[in-house]
Amino acid sequence: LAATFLAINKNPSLQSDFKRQNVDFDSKKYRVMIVDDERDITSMFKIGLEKYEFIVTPFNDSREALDNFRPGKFDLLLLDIRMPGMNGFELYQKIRDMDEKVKVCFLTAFDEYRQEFHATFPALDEVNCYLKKPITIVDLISRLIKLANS
Amino acid sequence: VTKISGHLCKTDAGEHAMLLYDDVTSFRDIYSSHCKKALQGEGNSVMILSHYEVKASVIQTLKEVELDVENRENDGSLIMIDASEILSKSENIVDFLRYLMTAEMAVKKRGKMRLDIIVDMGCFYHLSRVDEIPRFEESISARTNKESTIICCYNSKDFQRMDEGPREKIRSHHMKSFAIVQDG
Repeated sequence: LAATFLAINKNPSLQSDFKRQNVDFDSKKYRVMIVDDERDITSMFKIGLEKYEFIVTPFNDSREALDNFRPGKFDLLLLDIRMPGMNGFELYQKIRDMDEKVKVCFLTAFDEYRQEFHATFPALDEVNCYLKKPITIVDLISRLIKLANS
Repeated sequence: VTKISGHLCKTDAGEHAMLLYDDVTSFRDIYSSHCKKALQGEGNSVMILSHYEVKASVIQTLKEVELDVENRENDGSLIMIDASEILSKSENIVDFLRYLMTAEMAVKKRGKMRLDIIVDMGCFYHLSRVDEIPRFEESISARTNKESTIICCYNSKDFQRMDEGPREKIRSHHMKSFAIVQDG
């Protein structure tokens, strides 16, 4: 992430934010698919992440996201949990069936009920990246890079 | 949106209505407008069981139509809660209905005459309890104590996931149905 380095180096406060969170950058441009039914959320994340050289493909409909997903097309997936038509858990399951390697992070504004969700989504523990909205771009990038390097 | 909101306000106490919406923005317009109008009436109260948005977002939406949310919450005329939280704690539909009835009684105790309950049915899809919807709708229609108005709100993407049979059954349990259709 050379360009990310540049962007961060230009902004000392941002650099210290990332340093504090022990985030190491490499020179890769990450391809991120963001799925959230709220257009404002995907737009905001797209603008924020593109500023740091991420390649972002947003979707506001989980079915459309699934139709456009191909194994190897994305490095990271950022999936909202509560979406109409097909929720984030269902989308995750369908994507996992196609691609075992892609790294996934769930995004939610809610305090989800892990116990209850285990019954309907047994694979809940496979994913250990949960981000709570609202989130700052600094925190989002830190978590995404940690996830990518995990 | 204005038309539907007007119709919803004219619903009588005890009615069971259905609202089909395409996106969260139009849903926000409807419930905020309905809430504002309903709360203008003396002794009225509203309970919103949201699913696709957190309470903070519902509060923000209601503030945008200049509703005094804090005071309304304090005097008990406005209740906002996450529908999934209630459903996940309900072993069955009876438990869920019991919760709604308890809210109705609590509102009555505070001297309110009418309660409008707006439920986002997305919680049933999210918790894989879609099969329970027809029974839930049937139980609401069959209830004898009809003091509160219940508006069941479906996102069209969720509703389309059901077969035509259950969809028809659900429609038939409502006295009134409304759909927000996008222009163009």
